[in-house]
Amino acid sequence: MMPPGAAPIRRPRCPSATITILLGWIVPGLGQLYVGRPGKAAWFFLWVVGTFALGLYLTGFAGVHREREALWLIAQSFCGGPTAASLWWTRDVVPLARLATYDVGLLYTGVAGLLNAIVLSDALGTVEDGARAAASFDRIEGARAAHAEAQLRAAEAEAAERDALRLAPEAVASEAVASEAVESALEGAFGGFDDPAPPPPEGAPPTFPDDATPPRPSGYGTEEAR
Amino acid sequence: MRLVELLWFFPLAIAIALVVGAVGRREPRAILRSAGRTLWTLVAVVAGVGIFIRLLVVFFV
Repeated sequence: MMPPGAAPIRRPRCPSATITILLGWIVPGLGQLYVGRPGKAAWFFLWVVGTFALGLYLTGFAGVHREREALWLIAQSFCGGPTAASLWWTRDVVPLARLATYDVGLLYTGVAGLLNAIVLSDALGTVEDGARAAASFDRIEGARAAHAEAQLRAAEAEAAERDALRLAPEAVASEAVASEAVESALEGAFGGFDDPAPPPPEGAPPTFPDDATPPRPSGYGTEEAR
Repeated sequence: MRLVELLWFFPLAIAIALVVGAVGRREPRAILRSAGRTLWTLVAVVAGVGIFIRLLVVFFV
């Protein structure tokens, strides 16, 4: 039973892992937002996108390119949205001179991509926690429903037993009435069973029923009788 | 690359530490404590390796 005034416990949400991965890949931190962690979402967005943007700046906006930096693009592509946006916006940028910070910038963008892989794993951990909590909730609710059903059945059985006990005297009385009626009907038909046999006339030999043996005289079969 | 240029990697190390420290944790204090430990490890490893290589160069090259 729930205590009075307590809010009903809702089933924990069980977010989809695929959607979480997809959202987190497109925008770093969006996976956390989807699974219900807005604070962490903002935190990860700030650091991952900030690192990526700083790296892009240090490369002179030329660090994300399909041909020039194909190997770095593998690491950067873990940050799907920022990488795609950079590819699109900086497609016409041609570096006139290699900046001193170009390599550091490349490292920043690549590390930002790899950091987003870690961020995605964090979101998946939250998804797993949610699934586990939902499974526990289902188990507890199932046990609670089974307990309630068992209590209901026990109450029904108790009520049936009470009814049976209440009806028992009436049943005994009606049985007695019925047997009396049968008895009287039989009595009317056959003259009754309880009439005693008429006494034998005076001096008549005693009669025995067919299947009865006459009583033996005392001492029958003993030495004195022979 | 000079040893001073390693300072370029310090902001990156901070970003890595803050992200890695927040993974799997919910309380801000736990996040900051873990981030501090991660940052210390990163700085110690990178600076240690950098100084070690620099010493090798100084003494043997």
